[in-house]
Amino acid sequence: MSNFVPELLAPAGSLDKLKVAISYGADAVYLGGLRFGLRSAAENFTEEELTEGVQFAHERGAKVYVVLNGFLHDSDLNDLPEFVKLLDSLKVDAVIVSDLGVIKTVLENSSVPVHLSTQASCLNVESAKMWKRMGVERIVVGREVSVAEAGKIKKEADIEIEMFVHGSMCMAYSGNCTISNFTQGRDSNRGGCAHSCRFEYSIEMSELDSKEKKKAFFMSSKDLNGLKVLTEYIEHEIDSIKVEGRMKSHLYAGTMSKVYAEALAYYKEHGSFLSGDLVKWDKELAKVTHRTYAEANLTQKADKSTIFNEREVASDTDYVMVGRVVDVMPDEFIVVEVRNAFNIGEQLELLPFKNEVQIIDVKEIIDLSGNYQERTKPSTLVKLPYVPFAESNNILRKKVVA
Amino acid sequence: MKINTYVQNIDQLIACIQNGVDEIILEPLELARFGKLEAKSFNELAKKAHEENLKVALEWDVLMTESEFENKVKALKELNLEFVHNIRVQDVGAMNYVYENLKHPISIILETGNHNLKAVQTWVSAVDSRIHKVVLSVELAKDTLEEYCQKLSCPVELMAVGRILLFYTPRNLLSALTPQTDELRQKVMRSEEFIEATGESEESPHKGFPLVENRHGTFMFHIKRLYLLDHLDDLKAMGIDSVRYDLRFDENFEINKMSRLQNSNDGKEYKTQYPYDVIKGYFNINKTDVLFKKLKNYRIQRKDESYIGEVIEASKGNYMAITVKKHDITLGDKLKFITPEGKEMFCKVHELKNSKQEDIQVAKKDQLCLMNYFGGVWVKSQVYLAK
Repeated sequence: MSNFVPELLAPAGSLDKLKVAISYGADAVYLGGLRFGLRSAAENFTEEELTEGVQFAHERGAKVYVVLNGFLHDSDLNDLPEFVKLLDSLKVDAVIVSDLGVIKTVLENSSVPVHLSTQASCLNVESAKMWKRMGVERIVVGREVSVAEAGKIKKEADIEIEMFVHGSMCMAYSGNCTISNFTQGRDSNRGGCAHSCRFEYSIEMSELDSKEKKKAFFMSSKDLNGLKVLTEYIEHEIDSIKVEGRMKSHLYAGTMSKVYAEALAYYKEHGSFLSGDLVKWDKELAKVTHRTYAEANLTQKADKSTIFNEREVASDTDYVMVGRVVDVMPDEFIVVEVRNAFNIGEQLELLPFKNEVQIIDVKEIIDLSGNYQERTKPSTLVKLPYVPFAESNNILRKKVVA
Repeated sequence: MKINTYVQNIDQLIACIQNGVDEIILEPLELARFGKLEAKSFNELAKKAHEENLKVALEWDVLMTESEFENKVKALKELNLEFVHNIRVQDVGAMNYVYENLKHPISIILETGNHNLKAVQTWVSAVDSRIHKVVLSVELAKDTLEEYCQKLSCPVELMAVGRILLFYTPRNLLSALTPQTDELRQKVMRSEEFIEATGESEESPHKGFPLVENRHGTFMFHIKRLYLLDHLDDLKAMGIDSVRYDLRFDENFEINKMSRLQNSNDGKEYKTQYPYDVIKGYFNINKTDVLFKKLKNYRIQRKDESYIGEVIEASKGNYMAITVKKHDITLGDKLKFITPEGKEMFCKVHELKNSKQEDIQVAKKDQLCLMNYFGGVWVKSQVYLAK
């Protein structure tokens, strides 16, 4: 039995993360070049990395979408035709664009399909019809749109729809926040967002009982988690479900890809999500550092309960990435590139690409010169005894101790 | 240069009539972000303005999800559009609806983004002969505005004075802070009332961001007002067709004073009486991308055809571990290392091993290898074949 499921689209903030996301099951990844996107601080891809990334993805049947979603100024457009031609020659599968000038430039200089970024805040059927006339083939709808509304837009505008399923949320209508521009001198719509919405504000308002200013993280949104409404996405035939987070870790890219890929694969085979693994998937998503989860606007209008009125601190349910497998000698050892230190006696978890999480009780740590260690250090390589199903680029994690 | 402004009641309309305003903008409660006009008031004001030869623009600038869109169209149909000259739209859906279902000229509000001529021209051509004007972003600098005015086939409007909108969300963020959230929301939904507040961010030295919540969501503004009245000569010279005086949040509707300002000097003089702190915004220059270069380390980006990989461990005195990402490493190769600090170092491979510490001749793509240690090369150094 093979049921319709949407494409799983994962973030790839770097070439390593692209490989992680695809290896863990993403059908497609989105990434940025060195310019023209909205994540200036991300590592992003050089031309060479882009070439390798596209090749890696295509060899595994995955697609690559390149974000060009800044609201560009005239001078930014000068070098764009050349970059677009390069993307065309590399056979990237689409570009994700918000700005009409960029759309026009892409269409004039390439045959790369254009997807409209969520940054353009396309929220309704009429809007989708207009964007379609502008040459857009897929719309990443605004985060204010419910799954049912997205389905209606797809049907009535007859256009592909992509929707966020997981990750951080802008509180503002995307593209409609310029706090960074005017307070930090950084254009939020060209990659300089300073995340002003995540800070604490002191509010003075006559409706508050207290004479004191009220301190609150009133503009910060809880994170989106659409795992439990995946059925809705399928019922409304959403073409692609998207995970936010190009700035996030390898652990995040890997976990999201693995969990959602497993869930979609289950549905594809069984026609439902009524799997014994549903609880496991939910727990896995909880292990990644996140703000409190909510379903935002997916099924009903986001209300007061979707505001994340807290300072961001690690939770005791969080896991941290301790390392990445960089070499495997079957039945002998694995080599781990250590990102966060761990000790003899600690329990780690290895996330295989396809199989169940493997528990590792650390009994022996050896450096590559053959010396035994009690504790690892970040940015070093260590050998651990071989773990079944381990492959290069697998992620190891451990629970955060509060 | 023409003047337009928002009108919320008959007194303001009379002031506009008496002071030579060219166009008034009416904001229906359901369709405009800061709308306060019920259909009846809207129709009366539009009719009166029309009788006095004032051009009437209808502001439909809310952003709408599909379910809301249907309600907005219903609200639009309740209005008498006979006296409306043009309709101002920001949501692309509203633009398409007006284009396909009404006959009115269209003013496209391009104040969010649209910072390149190609985008603006493409929007103009999207509604072809129906275009009335474009409302451009206050983030565009004067040289850019001048170029656009010359090259666009339609008139340009620019806000010359008023609050700068920084943030717009459909969520109800102020009422949520109070114990009486539901009660406040009901009150806001029943009437044209706004909840107003000020906010001070822990992150920014700026204090007193004005905040507004109403039926359409929550808005935050800059602490200072945009004020370009001391540049009236420049605005005229660059070819701006109309300047918008946004007095919606002013204590007094001083259109009588503002409409009399003829030149930059008048504007400078009036500035001394204007009761709010002001800024020019990006009128002179916009450099909001210059800090981006500092946000990442360009030295660790791989660059050319001779790229090999990256150092992932440097064990002092022992070895350097390299992940081979592109070209193979062969025993005897001369390598170039670029450290994260940007230093270039050269070293010959005279020892090459795998992770089992077995000697190898070649390390291939995707393989981990260990080579002889070289002082000063650190983790994240990029490795190239030396030419």
